[in-house]
Amino acid sequence: MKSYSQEYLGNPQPNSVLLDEVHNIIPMWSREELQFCVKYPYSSRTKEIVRWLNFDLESLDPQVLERALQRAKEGIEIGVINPEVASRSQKILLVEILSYPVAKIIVSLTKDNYLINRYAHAEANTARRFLYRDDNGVVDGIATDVGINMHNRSVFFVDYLNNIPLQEQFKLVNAPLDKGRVTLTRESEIEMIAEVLRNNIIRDLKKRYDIPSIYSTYAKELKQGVSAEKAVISDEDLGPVDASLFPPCIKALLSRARAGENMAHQPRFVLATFLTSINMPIDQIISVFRNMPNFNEKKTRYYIEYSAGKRGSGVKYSPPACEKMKYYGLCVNPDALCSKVKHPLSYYAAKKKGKRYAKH
Amino acid sequence: MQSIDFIRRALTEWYQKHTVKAPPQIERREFGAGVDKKIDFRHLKFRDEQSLNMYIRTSSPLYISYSAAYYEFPDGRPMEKKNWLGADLVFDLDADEYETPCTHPNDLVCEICMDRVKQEAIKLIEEYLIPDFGFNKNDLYIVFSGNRGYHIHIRNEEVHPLSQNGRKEVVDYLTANGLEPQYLGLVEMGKRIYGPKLDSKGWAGKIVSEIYSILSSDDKKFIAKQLGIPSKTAERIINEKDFILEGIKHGEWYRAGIPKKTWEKAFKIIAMKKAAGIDKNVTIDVSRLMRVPTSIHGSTGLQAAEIKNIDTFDVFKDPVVLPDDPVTVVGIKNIDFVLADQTFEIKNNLKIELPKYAAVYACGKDMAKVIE
Repeated sequence: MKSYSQEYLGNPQPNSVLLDEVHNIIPMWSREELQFCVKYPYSSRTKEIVRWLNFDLESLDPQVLERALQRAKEGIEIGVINPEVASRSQKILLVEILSYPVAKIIVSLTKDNYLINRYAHAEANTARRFLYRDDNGVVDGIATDVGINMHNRSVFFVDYLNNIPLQEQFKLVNAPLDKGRVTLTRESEIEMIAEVLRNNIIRDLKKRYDIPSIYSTYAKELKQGVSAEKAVISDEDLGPVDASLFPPCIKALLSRARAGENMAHQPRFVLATFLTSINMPIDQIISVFRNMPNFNEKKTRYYIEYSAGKRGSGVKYSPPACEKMKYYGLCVNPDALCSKVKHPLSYYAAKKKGKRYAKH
Repeated sequence: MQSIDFIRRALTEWYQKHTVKAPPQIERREFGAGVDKKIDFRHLKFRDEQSLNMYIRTSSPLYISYSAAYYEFPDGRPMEKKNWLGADLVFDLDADEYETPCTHPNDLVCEICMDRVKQEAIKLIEEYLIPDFGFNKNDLYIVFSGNRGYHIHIRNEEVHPLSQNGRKEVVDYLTANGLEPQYLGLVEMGKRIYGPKLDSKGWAGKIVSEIYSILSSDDKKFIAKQLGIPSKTAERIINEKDFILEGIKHGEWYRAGIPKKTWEKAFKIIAMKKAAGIDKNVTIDVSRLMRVPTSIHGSTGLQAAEIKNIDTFDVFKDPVVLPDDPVTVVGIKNIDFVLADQTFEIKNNLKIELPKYAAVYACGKDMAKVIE
């Protein structure tokens, strides 16, 4: 079996490099350059640096391992990764950069498709977030780096359709199709990059490599750490919907929606994904949004079916975890149970179970 | 003798002397064959042309079909076990989908119906597949279905990976389904409406050039009807024609003095009109089976003939491949039909001697039956 470091990290011989030493021997990368690599750890520039570092999986700086595990958890639980892009320390930046290939190893070793998909989804979200803030030159460069075959900002229609989210504005019928090629807008280019990256990561993570055993320990830790959440989010059938058991944050959003408030995208997303996750019938979910000032049944249905994974790429979206809800300012009136859970769905599941046991 | 046995015998005789062409990568395709139904058996696999023909000669199917898809294990079942590797892009145009003034029983291969399908096929090729999708004439493998339609196969490797959703998007493109003027660029900035230009790509360009040509007219009733605007407005437009046309050419839609909502409606009306006809006719199912080109269709005795030039293809002559030795049949209805430049008149309960190819057609279409 080919070793992972041979293929991804380009290391032919064992060579123990601690990052503190690296710091002393190679001051050659500018901070800007390293920050770019933190944002885009799959870019060709990053791969060059990682290859240059020539490190060995057997004797990796423990800080990298810790951060990699954290990166994987963060991605799987919150759905997005927050690397320390702004750090002034070269070492921290290097740790962030190396945490990407190592996190991939750890997630891959779980051999758990659910975790692999969640992680890939999170890296894609992270890419999307940085790309929207960067200029077109960066976006074009990353597009090429992830393997999008682009000429004059246009792509072959098969590549376009296989990688673009199926939202109305990206539909082929609304796209400038000419001689088999679609000219990308900045937005469609970024969305395509995110999707290609997600698919690339999933493909990489399903390959099997010869990896030192220490990584398996981390993989086990990751699997245990997130399994409780996973059970709630993906597998459990929560039975009939009971709105009285909703967590305070969702109850608040529901009453805002019913009051006809024109809510922003994020709270709408939370509400839609929460309700689809507990399998509320789609028509009922639509009626939740009916009072909103700009309500459009067709669009609402499309959007809800999309987040339920019944349209587009078939990805079923989950509502964000509590941490992310706090970040959005959507965590309101937390109660005692809230302090014991990390996810709005866990709250609901716990209440449901409590009720079920109380009956028997 | 039953009609079905007569047809089978006629087909088998032909298959003994002729070879059905193997589609490319035959070993990756799933085949289906049928006698009672179009497909009685599927999940069949052949390693080469010879084994395909051997099968046809020994089992005498009335229908033989193959998958547009390529599989690792074409004979695997259920479907998931086949491991889909990709598929040709196939457009299936059938007369059943179009309205014609015909009054004949609706399964007849008739001149008016077939001409209508042919026009739709040509439109699909010349207005969409070549300019928009960038295919060359040589990429298009056009085949008569053997009955009432045409199949256009695109076998280029580069289309094989297109997903099922992606194929649905192609169909939506052809039928203008989901077209939204705002995403074609029609916007209001300040009080001014801007939009796509005459040289815009895709549907945006199609719609602009259509509107451009409508507005070039001097007939106010025509303009009013085509765009869905009051004829007073149409009259004003005619008076300011040059100024307005020049604006639209460059995307300055405000020059026409028509509200954005009206333009949005006009965009959709025009899209529907231009797309009409291709509706529903196009295959998106990636695991579907279709007639094997060069085989014979058991309901007509006509060959699923390869078509070099669709403009000159004669559906009543070119696919007639069965021999012409005489066969006596008895009519079960009163009906006329044309084949190989001859008109045949079938009368209920009357015996008639027909060339074999016409006898197979008449029996296959339940117009006549063979006698013992």
